[in-house]
Amino acid sequence: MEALFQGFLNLTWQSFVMFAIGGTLIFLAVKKDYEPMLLLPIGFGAILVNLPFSAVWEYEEADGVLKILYNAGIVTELFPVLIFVAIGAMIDFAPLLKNPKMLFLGAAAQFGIFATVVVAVLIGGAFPSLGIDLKVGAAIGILGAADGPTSIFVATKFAPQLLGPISVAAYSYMALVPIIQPPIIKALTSKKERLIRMEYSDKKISKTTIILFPVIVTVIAGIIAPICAPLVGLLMFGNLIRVSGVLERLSKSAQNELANLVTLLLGITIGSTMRYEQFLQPMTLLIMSLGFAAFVFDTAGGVLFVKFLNLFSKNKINPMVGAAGISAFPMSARLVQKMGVKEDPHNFLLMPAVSANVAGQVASAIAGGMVLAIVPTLMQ
Amino acid sequence: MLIQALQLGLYGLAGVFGSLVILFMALKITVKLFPYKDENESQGSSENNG
Repeated sequence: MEALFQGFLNLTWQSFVMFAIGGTLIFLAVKKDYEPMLLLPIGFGAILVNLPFSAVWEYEEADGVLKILYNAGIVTELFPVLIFVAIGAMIDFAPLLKNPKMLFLGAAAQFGIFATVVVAVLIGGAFPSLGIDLKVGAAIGILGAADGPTSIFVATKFAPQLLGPISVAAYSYMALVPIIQPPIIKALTSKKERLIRMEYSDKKISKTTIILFPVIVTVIAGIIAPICAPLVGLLMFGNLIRVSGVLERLSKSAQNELANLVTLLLGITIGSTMRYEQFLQPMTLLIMSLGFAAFVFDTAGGVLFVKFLNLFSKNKINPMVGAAGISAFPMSARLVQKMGVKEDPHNFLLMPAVSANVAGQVASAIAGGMVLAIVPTLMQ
Repeated sequence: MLIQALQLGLYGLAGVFGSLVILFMALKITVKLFPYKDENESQGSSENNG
């Protein structure tokens, strides 16, 4: 008879807290449309894995379905890099090729990664019980890449035990870009700066250049930081499929079937890492706070970098475009356009903002590779 | 460890900017070497590249 009530008997208050967290993520996905493709499966995965006995994770010493997916797709880093193929196939880099100097805005907006690592390490020094070393600090700091797959990729290597909260923070804050960025942009720019108009030249780019772009990026990034080859290489592979013009079926499959299938499996598998023993820790709150800080630092880095460039440049860039250098595509570009039109209904910043935004995609993957390459060297 | 974190910041940002400077130059050269001339060529828009 007792067997019938086993589930009830093994429920804990922590399970209910995790059900509430999972439910909140599902609510945010359904009602607020915050990254529903990921937050909904993550939320449901969090509920599933916190049911009594966690049968989806492990039951009677046998791996459950989600643990099998975790070992196959996350431990091996397969899911994040497959997502990169899909993202590459979805991105049109032509606006960046028309205005390549926007690449530097993508680089500046990675400032948040490194600033957050410093803050994390400082906190780790003040509270040694948290166990934050350089690897853990880097896994948290990579939230500043504003890029889910990069965050998952780096966290898997440096702090797999923190994968759940890091992934939730990455996708939550990406969805919250329209709320996080505007106050920072406004605080760091004057009305006059926000009114700067940028001329858009519809420069034609040859198809050869468009096809060579992913190859060039892969070779350069792969030579400078070989460890970033899986990230940058597969992002660019996806893009090459798209722009080659001869693989339309594969391009569509990457953009649709591959993206949908891997996103579905990735989301629920990440949710399954949110077991209460690991998630209900002070570290989770710290990761959420530092993730927020990372996005603030990124935005500030991008905006201030443009202001610095404007000191020496004749053709001024609207500093708001600097904020679009983060990798959250296309939310950030759309936000900058919206803010520009609000300041001046005839100021269209969409194209430069999209250029900066796709530059952020490239820069964040390279930054992820840099972190992966440099941290082990520094820790030797 | 703080020194290591600052070193990571310095080397990391230098690495990202350095990579993108090289990429920028490579793109400039590529655009020069392969200018747009054939009016049948695509501009790389999503419509054209599916």
